[in-house]
Amino acid sequence: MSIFRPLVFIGAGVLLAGIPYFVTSPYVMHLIILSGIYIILALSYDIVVGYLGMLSLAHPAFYGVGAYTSVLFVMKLNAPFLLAFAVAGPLALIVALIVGYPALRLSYHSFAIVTLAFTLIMRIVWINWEGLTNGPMGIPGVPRPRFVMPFLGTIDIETSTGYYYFILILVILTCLFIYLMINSRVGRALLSIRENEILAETLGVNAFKYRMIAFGIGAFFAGIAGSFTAHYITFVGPEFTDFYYITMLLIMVILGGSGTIHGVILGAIVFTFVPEYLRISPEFRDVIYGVILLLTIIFMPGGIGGRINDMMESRKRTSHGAVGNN
Amino acid sequence: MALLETIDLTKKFFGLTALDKVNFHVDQGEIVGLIGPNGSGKTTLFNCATGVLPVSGGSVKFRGEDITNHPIHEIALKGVSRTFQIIRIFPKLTVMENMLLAIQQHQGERIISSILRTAHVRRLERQARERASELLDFVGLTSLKDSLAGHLSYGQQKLLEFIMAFMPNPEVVLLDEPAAAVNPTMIKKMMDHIIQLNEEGYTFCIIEHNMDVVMELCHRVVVLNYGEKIADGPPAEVVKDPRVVEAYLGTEHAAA
Repeated sequence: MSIFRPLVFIGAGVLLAGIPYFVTSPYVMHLIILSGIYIILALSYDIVVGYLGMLSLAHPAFYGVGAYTSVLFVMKLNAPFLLAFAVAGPLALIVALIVGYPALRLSYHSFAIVTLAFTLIMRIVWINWEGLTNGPMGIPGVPRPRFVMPFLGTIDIETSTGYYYFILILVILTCLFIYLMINSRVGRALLSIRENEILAETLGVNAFKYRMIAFGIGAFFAGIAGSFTAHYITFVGPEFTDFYYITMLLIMVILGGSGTIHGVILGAIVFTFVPEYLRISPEFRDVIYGVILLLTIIFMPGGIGGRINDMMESRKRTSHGAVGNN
Repeated sequence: MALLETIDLTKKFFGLTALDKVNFHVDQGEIVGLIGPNGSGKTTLFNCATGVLPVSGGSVKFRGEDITNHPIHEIALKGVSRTFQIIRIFPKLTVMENMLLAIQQHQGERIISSILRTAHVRRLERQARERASELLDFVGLTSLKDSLAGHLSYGQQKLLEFIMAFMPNPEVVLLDEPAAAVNPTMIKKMMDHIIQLNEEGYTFCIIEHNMDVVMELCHRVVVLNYGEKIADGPPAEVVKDPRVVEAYLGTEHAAA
């Protein structure tokens, strides 16, 4: 196992790095980049929905905040891309803290309603603040990412290969951060609040503070994903804050396996490709998604990731023999 | 000065007065028993003192400092640990994880450094593990440290909850019925643990119905009845107090 593990990582690394060389179809390349965006969105959404256990419907709002922030910085303030990109995440985080300060004191259902209202309000803001956002038309012609780095020169990202490596790095960093977070004391604190808030508080955990942290971190990554998307499709519009993303993210997280990184990644990839290939009409799509969600919750509550974990667990147990206790 | 103290503590649930101007204190090094018939307000007193329930009147003080209606976690961080009547542990986490959770906030939490696992954080974690191992060893749960807490037997869960309360080195430990629904051997063990920890300097306040336990363990006993304090003194005297006998058995016996 110990020799096997590094080999798996190296293999996966070579495979991921090599994708642009053996995927020739630009369309498939586009879907792969898109699934990268969805992986970041779904993983960050799962921090709030899975680890914190609060149903937030505000994720598309933070996605929109990140996208508009980045675009406006570049196009109105003539800021370099790197600065705009670096500001998008923190600004989404600040907005999340402002919304979260009152909202995270509410009960589960009230929180869901307030975050839903926030998403709808942000959409109205994008549509009506025409001077800044160009209203329902959105802002076309967003410049592509250009990294101006001292000593290293300038890197322009123009091809899908460039975008692929860019999103690959972002996805890896996101995964790494979330992995470290859930395995740290912060992750344990979040878990304790979800499992039993009174007990967590009795042990000294400030539940409200940790809710703010988790909500903020979730928004941070949504903002980054928003910025990337805007500079990738070279457009930003009110569509970024669409309720459609909530259904997408929920199905990715729940079918993939809430609370598992590999499951959510899998869910995000599957649900980027499946709708594209099945070419389902939007009316049918929601019905089918609803059925899939129901079936998952009834028959596989842990999602794919949970199922994989169960299988690994039982294999480990049979190989080591059952541990008895009195 | 009393370690933990309530002054005219009153708690009303709508029309019902659960605690009526209760003056209660626990001094450093004591084992205080809190007894009384069902519904007399013992657990309510614990809940008000630890911030779990908002107080209707009066005040709660810890080392002379007012902590009335402070958030639960703040009171916990000051050094007031407690257990619950119905066991509260995290069944989906392992025994060790439960133990680590019980201390991490007390070590101070810096979010970014704990995520990035700086040397300081790793050292704290190692200290926490050592402390947890000592306590697990103390009650004999070491072999189960990697089992899920939910898989433990009732008595083992009770022991786990008990030692979790000691992880942060608390000033005072409030135990809500530590001997309830536990077999006699385990009761004996639990009592030995409490006595030993008391000798090491821990202060206790114990709600208990088992009078054998109360008589043997407690230095002082406080009796509540219908939310009022009716007696406060050494166990041997309190059980003879006519008002206490009346509260438990009715007026006829008190007269006899």
